[in-house]
Amino acid sequence: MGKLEQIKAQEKLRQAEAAKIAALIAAAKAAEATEQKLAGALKNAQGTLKDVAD
Amino acid sequence: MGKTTTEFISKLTAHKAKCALCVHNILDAATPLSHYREQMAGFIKQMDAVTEHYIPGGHRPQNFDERVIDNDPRYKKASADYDAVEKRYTALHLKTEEAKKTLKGSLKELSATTDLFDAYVKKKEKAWLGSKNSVPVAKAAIASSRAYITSCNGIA
Repeated sequence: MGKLEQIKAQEKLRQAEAAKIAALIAAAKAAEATEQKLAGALKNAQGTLKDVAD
Repeated sequence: MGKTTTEFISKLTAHKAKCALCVHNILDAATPLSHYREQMAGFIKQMDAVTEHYIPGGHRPQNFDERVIDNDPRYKKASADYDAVEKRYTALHLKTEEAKKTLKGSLKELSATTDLFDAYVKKKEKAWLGSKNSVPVAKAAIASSRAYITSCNGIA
């Protein structure tokens, strides 16, 4: 099999991979937004719970 | 007073930061992949065009030597350019996979600490009733942590 044919076969595999990568990026961006909410919740908890009974 | 909760929140904050770094690394590595794929597709088209020039419509001339295509300067350049971009693509793809693995480990730590904090808050709920907002705020932090873990599980 020539190099071009090998590359084309690899490219077909990557086409299938592309959809997974797009989904991965979308999920990572969504996680970043959720992380901001967690950061706020932890900051709030830190201030409120600093004096509670152990 | 508040020493245990402060320790829990410090741990949760540290685990969250580790997860966030992994998510950042995933985005950093995965975002350019589609651009590289487009470039690679362009080089394949160029190599195809050269091939078509020598073998029009796939009709190979008699006694045609394949090395003529391999030695064509346009084909050689497109092939070398493809290789260079493919190397970068592969490296970034590998980096993405490694970051996903690291994220899985960090999520386990965050999940374990969230469970421990949840159990601690449940144990202390009555004792904290006099302290305004303490229980709702602690529960909100636990719920946020669980939401973050769920959202990260969609990546890893």
